[in-house]
Amino acid sequence: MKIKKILIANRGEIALRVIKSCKEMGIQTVTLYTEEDKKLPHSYKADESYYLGQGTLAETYLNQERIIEIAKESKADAIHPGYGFLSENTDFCKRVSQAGIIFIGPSVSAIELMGDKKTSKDAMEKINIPLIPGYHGESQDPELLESEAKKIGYPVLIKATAGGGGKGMRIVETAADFTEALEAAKREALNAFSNDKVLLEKYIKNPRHIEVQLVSDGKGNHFHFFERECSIQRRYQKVVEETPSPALNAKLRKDMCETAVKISSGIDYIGAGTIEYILAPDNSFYFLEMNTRLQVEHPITEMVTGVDLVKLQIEAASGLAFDFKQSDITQTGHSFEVRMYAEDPDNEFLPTIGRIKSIGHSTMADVRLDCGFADNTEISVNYDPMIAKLIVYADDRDSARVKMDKALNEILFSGVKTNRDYLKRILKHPKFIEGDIHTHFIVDYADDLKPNVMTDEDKAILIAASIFSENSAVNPLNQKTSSWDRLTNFRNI
Amino acid sequence: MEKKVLINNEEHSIHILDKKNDSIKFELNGKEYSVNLLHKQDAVMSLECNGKKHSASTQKFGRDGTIQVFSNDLEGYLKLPGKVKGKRQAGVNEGSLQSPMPGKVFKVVKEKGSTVKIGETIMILEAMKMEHAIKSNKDGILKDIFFNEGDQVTGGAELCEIE
Repeated sequence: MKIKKILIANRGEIALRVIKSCKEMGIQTVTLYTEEDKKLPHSYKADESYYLGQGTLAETYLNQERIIEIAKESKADAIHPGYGFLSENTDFCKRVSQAGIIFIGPSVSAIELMGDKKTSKDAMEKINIPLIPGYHGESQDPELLESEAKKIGYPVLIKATAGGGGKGMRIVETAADFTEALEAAKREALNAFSNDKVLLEKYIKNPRHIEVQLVSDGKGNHFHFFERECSIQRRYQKVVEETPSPALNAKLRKDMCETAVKISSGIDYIGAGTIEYILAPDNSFYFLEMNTRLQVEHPITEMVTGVDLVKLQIEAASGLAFDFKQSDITQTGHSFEVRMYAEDPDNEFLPTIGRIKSIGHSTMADVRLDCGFADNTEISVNYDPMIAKLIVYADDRDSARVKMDKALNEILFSGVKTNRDYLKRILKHPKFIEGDIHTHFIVDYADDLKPNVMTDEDKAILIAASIFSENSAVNPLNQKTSSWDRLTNFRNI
Repeated sequence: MEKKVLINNEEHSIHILDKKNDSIKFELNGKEYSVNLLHKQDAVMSLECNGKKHSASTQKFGRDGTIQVFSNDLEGYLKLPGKVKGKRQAGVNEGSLQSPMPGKVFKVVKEKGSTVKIGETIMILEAMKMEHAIKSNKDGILKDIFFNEGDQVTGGAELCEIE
């Protein structure tokens, strides 16, 4: 069925991202906004936008009933959930389908299967996908869990079965810390997912996080779009992503990608999905989980493959068969993404808030900024601290790395404290430059990632600039256009 | 003329030798810096410091007179003469714990009147869906807790008192 109008059940940058593909495909868009978000671009960049009022997330962006009502009222044929929010909520998925609206995403059964870390691992075991040693049992008796942890051998990872985003997760180094860590993980899990069930896993030292992008059309065509390396993480939140991964040789890449396709066809998957792996230093890799949605870091895949993943999602949901072959999909050049967070890395990464005076824009080619804010909008404490994704593309890894460093000098988000300078320190770390990274990079090199020591000349420049800014009333920057309008060189093929 | 400047909360002393609208000469740690403002458009300025060119952009940051300055690989938070009123956090009771960020009191772990040890969690704050534990900075008695679970707190608010 031809989709003519899509309601986007999300906010911020991802809502804008979906709008972009829809516009290019001639599809009308409907967005949602709250009292707090009424000045953000997603509330005025769509063809229509509906007010959700003021309230908690459950009353607004997660209010399934209201969202479906709006979809009907606006005569949308499909709902795109973005990532997070309702994207992996099977209740929502079912209710959308029952209302006769297309859910742009996988089937309920695929979300259910992969949404629970335990059922997903059982299913993977059946089709011989490599898994990390662990305890995935039903019983949650603390004593049994503790003895299982001992069996696996410390260090052990405790994980909420319904988890994600680092919530409900704890690494336990010794038996003495087990009980406290278990309680904390369960409390966080209960809070975040209303489900405190956990599993245990062998904790692999210096692992790399590699994932493979998949898209299937639901007609038996399962494709991979190569890997992304997301090893630079903090508290299980990704910070820097890149593709290709410097850790993979051609054979390993082929193995990991083909295994991902095997999973996709093994569970009869439809739409976009991502297989996350842990890659051990000895090149053995293990299935970690499957994300049954578009990923935050999808743009780097688009940069190196030239494919519009949202467009493919919409085509798959429309029931169209893809007219390309696996061999048509190629990986060319190198792409990085950095996630810009409203946080202070030099003060325990505490969240920061405030008014963005000027986002800035890049003067370079092949730089993409996916951002849900505009100049003179507020960052609030009630939503995610990720304020933007900056993506660059170049011929090779080092050129892309240098370009990212330069792009970060142009995308300033002045007015708020962000992790911008910290990202630059990561990009310039000798181990990062070598591509010798793993998921504990940020913790292991915390000392190296402290603020650079300024020379007296540096200080003199800062002092002079601030004195000159005081002297004449220069501020503020009042640009009429938003960053979205200034988005340049978005590749879409 | 001796002036105090805070750079990233660290105090520096500068000696201003000459100051005009588009040029300034000052001494910092025994060295003289002569800086000319060559061009300015919006918040972006072109500077010449001891014969070398730099670009910089500035922005008012927060409400306490702090200026955020970017220049190539530099990012700094400055407070200028006349605006420096001692370092941040001055004037707060030594035995009190401050909220490091705006957010919500997610959980109060310790009871008023109980004994606390250094490093022990007293309460948990939540902002942007992340939990942050407020830990005791000394051994003592928790004399008072100023917020209840579910309360909103601002950054820098006094949370509790330890004796």
